[in-house]
Amino acid sequence: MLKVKIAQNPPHVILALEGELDMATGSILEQVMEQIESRDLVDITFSLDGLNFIDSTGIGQLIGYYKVFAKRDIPVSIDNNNAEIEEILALIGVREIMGVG
Amino acid sequence: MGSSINQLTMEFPSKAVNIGFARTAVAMFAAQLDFTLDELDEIKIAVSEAVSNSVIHGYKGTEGMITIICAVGEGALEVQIKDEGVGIDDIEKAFEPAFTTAPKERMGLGLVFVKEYMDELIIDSVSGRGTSLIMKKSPCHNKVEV
Repeated sequence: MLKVKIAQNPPHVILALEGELDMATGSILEQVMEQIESRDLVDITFSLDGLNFIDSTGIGQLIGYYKVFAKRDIPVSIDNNNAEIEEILALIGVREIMGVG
Repeated sequence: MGSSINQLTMEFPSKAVNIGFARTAVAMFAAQLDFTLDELDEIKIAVSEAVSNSVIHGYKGTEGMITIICAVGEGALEVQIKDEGVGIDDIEKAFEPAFTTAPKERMGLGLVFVKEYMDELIIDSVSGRGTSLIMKKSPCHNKVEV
């Protein structure tokens, strides 16, 4: 299960993710992104501290948003202090692709 | 696994909603060995990647059955994940980072994760008939440094 909380509203959006982000739960995040994508945005931050699971499909989804919003000059970054999640992000090289807080 | 002391078999439709159940069930089964919590998380990721592969690539959105057989014995876990989907045309290429036949959904890193987190990975696939993936892992304290 995944919960997505809008911790900070546009234009500086912070989305706090709690639970599991994988192929099954990605649509929950997608619904939230559809709500905010048409708003005036300056930047988007995904806070992953509440996640207890992410796989390559979940990471691919986050990187997908990074690429989509880069076309609108809206930076997308990850804020993470969760050691287990950090290890997975490092394995995929997300630091080199996106900003990781 | 020749002299397994315990075994679990699961069969379920290739629905995304079953991926979380599959990885949690395998991790709970694996917990009878002395894996650390980090190692159990690694097993969860490997199972998640393998089952996602069957759903996305094996059955390509159509519905089929996925079978998972877990066994423990001789201080090691063995997990076999099987589908009867389209199979893998080029197994060597499937191991290349960023190679994927479904670029919108995946980064092509699923098998890279499995190889990273498990001790051993064997893939047997016949084009048009399905894929079997066998992965093995022992608790870190059981491993002997050479």
